Amino acid sequence: MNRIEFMKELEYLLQDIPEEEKEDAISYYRDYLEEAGEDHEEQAIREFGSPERVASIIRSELMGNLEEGGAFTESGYQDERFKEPNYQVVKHQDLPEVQENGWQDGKNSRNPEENWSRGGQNGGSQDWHTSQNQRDDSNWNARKQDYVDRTWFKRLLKVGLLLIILSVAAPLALGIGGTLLGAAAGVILLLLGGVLLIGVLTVTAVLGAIALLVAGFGLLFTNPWGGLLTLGAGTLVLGLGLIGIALSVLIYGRFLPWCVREIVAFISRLFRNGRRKQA
Amino acid sequence: MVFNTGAALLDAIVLAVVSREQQGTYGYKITQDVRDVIDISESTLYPVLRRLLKEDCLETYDLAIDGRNRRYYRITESGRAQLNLYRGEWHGYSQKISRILEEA
Repeated sequence: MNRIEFMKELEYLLQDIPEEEKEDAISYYRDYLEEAGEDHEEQAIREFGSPERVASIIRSELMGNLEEGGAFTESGYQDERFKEPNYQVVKHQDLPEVQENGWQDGKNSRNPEENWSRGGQNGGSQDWHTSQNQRDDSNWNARKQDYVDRTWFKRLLKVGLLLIILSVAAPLALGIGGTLLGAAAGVILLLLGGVLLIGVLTVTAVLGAIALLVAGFGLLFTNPWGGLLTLGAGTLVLGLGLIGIALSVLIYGRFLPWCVREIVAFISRLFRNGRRKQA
Repeated sequence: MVFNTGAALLDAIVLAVVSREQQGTYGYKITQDVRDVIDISESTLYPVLRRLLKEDCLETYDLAIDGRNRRYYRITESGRAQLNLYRGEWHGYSQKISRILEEA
């Protein structure tokens, strides 16, 4: 397998990952093989193993679980999962149509290529993806076209269904949505009111406690019992004030910043999603 | 090498290799430089470089060489901080291991 075949195959295998990631990975490996030059190219491709293996490594890192897998062994750094020929095949992302039973773990298979092929990228049950060796170019292109057509058709179908559902459900949804929105606004206002109230009550309690304690202390000399009673009342109010302070610290120091963070994160997520869809 | 170590050491070696080049260096050369020290497969480094980029330890820029783009990797400030952390950890760790092995 030469450099061009290898890259073509890798590109084909990565067509379902996010465009940006795919381009980064493809250009990295293409550059790598170009830098390797003619002398080293063959060795580099041999060490890559197969396009399937490289695609697996890229996918695996995308899913964020590569970091834990590797270790230095007698022969240097290795990741057990990607040792030929028993590397683990990583499932395609963003393809919910793929049936679970179409996938094989790859652990017990002698031949990773056959194993990968059997995974099937268009639904698993159909075995249109036969052995790599039998694959000629026109066949490959036809299959790719077939795959692209199918995904397009599926996408169209989904949009159509969504439109129908929306047009039927819109009037109902608007009513329910309005009520829900009103209720949500009510709850939020109530929460805000409560939060403010706790702050105000705390300040009042602390100030009141100080006033009562000072007054009680003064009274002690003229009217000992009255003074003691006032001091007691002051202490009680002070206790309430302290509880209020603890609550305020929790609410103003933790809960409110948390709310703000969550809201900001939510909004920025919305924006990012929107941008990705446009791209 | 007979000893097993985690992926952090590979991160440290890659950061060290990249930090040696003021102007940055590129994927193929990083791989060959790391291979001078430890035995890694040619395909190992892409995920590592990608992760270090995501963690802002490295940055990239493209430069036209021989009529095509070559992507250069350069260490960032936080990459240097991370490398220093690894260096300190490694220093303490390797000293302790050396001591116990040579005392015995």
